[in-house]
Amino acid sequence: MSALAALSDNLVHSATVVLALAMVAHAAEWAFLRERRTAPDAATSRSGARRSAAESSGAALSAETDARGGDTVVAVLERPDAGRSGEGPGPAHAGPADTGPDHAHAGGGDGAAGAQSLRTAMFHRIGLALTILGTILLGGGVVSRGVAAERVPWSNLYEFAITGSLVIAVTYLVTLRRLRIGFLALPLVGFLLVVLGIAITVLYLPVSGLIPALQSYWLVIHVSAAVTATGVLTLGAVASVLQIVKARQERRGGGGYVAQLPPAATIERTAYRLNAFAFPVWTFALIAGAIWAAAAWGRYWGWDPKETWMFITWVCYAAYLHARSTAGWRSRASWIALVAYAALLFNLIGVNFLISGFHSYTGK
Amino acid sequence: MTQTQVRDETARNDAPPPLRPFELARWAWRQLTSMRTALLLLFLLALASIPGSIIPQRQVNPVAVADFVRANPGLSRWYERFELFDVFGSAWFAAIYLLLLVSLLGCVIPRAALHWRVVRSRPPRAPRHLDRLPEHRSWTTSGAPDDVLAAAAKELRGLRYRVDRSADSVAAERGYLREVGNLVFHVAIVVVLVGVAVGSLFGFRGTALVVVGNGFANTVTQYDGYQSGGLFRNNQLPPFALTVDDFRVRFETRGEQRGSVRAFNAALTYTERPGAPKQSYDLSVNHPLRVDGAQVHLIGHGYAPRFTVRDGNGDVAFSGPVPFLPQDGRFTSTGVVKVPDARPEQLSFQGFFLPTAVVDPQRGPVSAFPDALRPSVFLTAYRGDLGLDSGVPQSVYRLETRTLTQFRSAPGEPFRLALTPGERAALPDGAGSITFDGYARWVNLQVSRNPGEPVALVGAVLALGGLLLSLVVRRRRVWVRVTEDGGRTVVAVAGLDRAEPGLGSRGAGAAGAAADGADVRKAVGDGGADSGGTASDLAIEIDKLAAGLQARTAPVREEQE
Ligand code: HEM
Repeated sequence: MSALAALSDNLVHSATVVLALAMVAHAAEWAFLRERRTAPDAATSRSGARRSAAESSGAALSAETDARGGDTVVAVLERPDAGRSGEGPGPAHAGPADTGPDHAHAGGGDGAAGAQSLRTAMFHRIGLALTILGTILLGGGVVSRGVAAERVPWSNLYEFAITGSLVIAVTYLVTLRRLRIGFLALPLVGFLLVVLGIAITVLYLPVSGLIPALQSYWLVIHVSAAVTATGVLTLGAVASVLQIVKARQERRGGGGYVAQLPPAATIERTAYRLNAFAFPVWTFALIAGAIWAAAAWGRYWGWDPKETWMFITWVCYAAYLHARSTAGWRSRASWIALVAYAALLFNLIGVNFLISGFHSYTGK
Repeated sequence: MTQTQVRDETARNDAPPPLRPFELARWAWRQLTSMRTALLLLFLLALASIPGSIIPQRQVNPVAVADFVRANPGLSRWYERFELFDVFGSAWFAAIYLLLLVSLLGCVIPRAALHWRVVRSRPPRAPRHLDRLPEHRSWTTSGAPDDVLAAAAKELRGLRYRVDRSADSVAAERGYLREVGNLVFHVAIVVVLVGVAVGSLFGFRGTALVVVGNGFANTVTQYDGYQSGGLFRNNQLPPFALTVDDFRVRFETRGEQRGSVRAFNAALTYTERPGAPKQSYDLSVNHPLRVDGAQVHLIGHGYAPRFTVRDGNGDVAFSGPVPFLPQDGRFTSTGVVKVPDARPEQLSFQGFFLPTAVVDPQRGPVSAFPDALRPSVFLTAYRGDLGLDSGVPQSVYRLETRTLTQFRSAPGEPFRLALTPGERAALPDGAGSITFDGYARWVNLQVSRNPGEPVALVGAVLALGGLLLSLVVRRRRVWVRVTEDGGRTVVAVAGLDRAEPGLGSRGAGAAGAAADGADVRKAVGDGGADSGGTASDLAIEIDKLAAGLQARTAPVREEQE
């Protein structure tokens, strides 16, 4: 094995370890959030008036924001006068959005709660820093794998898994502020760990070349689009799960971690944006795949199991987009998104291992 | 289409079906073209595709279907009845996508007409209370009302709005391309389907196995497998001919993927039509030869051991390569040699060709590597009438042994031959001999033409374009109103996003769900609940507009609200 290939393996392993640490940090963050939920009750008995005053004015929040290093903002501050405007597009709009779980809900400006929120914010930032580090390591692993193999690093399931994880992590980090998906941190990092764990232990294959049907630049285009869409759709699916859980909590009440999530409607919109972004990318992957098939096998579509499931996934996501604009179906949209994501997963796992066809490139 | 319309439509759908035939038909048509039906049909389509990926399909793998039928005769009868071996060509699958197609057209055509009217009509008038819209700004200025409105119209045009000016206000709207994109997307799906239909009606596809060194002329009789569309006539086959001069293949020799094919290509000489000059081409995977509207693909390869068979009279009864079919990744290949010209009795052989033969203690001789490193053949031999003159067609790869007598070395023990290149073995009783002369390779060529391909491609690209437009563009309305207040001009600006937030927005398209110009109160209500306090880019645009207007028309002071 070349030094580069070994380097790649080491980088992927270290990335996994670092992400495991990131998960621990995020878990700690959630644990403290939970404590904070109960803390203000105690505070109320001591200084209820002060607390509610602080909460309603939003002052507590700005204090919290400052405490967190000023990297955030306004989310809630703005709400009281969302409809007004005097302030203009200044720092409020340009500023990065909230990155953590919606800390605002817990409120609480006094001592105990303040310290809790400091700790929560600290763990969130540690988790984020570790996620960034893990992503960089993983990126190094993927790139060195590609260089070692002298081709794109996604010709077997192991490579697909590590590249897909990289895309998920990068998408998460890039859209973190724009889409305010900090609340996804814990489940997402957990998911990445599972994928990487399976990749390392079950799917691993040493570096080798490509079978001829896979030597085409349309393949590069097709698979990169598919990997990208898969990454983003994974984020969307995680959001959909949280949306369902949160909606249930909103209906039935109850506290715990779930109470800390942003409102279900907000999560739903986030999931929609992720899915709606990924859908055209998936469509493009489908088209590029057809072009590749036409070049490799002389037919652009042959209902090979892999193609069939790619089609099923596409149709399911189309149904999801429809459901969102169909009266009476919107509330079920998250479920449909999950069905669609299940089809996508089946295409990766089920089709490669249970059904074989032209595409099965498990490398075995 | 706005949410409001969708909602109305469903309300209509829920009404019980009326009884008179015409109304019943109209009711059915509405049902069919409703969003809900479209949704259900999409699900049905996804669901219907699943068996096609699990049950072996004739179109994809006829051999697997035959195996399946042999293994499960009872189940197969039911599968046959429901066309489950040909899901994607079945009547019920067609019913689903045709219904979807009708639903789609019934949905898209009226929407296109509606949108055409919307595009040609004026943007809706400003609502009375601009300050109730989710984004609004207001200030006073010393500029004349008319100047302010003129400036506003100019600014808005600069921001690519369609603008309509009235006495005291300017109404502007943009983002018509969103609906256009959506319509283009749906119509493009129809175009793709038309492409598929054209391909299956006017196309053809055939496969032919050609031993290296031999030629192929493009006529139906030369194909091993051939299918063509209902409207394709066989004399339309392009009259080219080709010879396979050479074939090279390279296998991975190291690592866990040892034995995987790494590259293969075939050197061809071809003529476009009889009498045309010879041209050469290097055929490889992903690089088909295009000739006269048809494409030639290299889709497989294998070994053809060469034999010379002498009969009982000592005459050469057969000499040449015989294609054997690979059974696994290591090219363990099986095949038969039929020698109808042998006298006094016809001879035949059946067995294996192993490119790299090793003898496994348990499984006997097997191939260890796909390349021909140590080729051998292992055969058993038969004599008797091959039945080739009986008129019943026979596979060249299978021996009908019922009428044949196997050569034996001892009672109950078949006579076995194991040969390496150049070796010759005599059959018992002076029945003849066989020489393994070496091997050639063969390639499997697929020749096809699909005139629907460009149509489908254009449809797919249009669909993608339409999709992007409809997901990225946002429909947005902006109003500017001026009122006189004691010699000063009060300027009010407000904006509203319609329908979904676009992908580019960071905030909620607050008023989205229900907002129509008139329904401001509702919109504000929704917006408040929805927006989650994010900074929308509608706000940014309104600010930009306000700043631009203020710069043009001398601001006096911010209105305190
Ligand atoms: C082959 C079947 C169909 C597919 C694959 C499909 C797919 C899609 C997709 C992906 C979208 C979202 C993207 C966009 O806004 O352009 C969409 C939107 C839409 N489709 Fe379809 N569609 C199909 C059939 C239909 C039918 C039959 C109808 C009419 C009943 C319909 C009505 C709509 C409407 C009204 C929207 C807009 C929803 C919105 O504004 O958010 N579609 N469709």
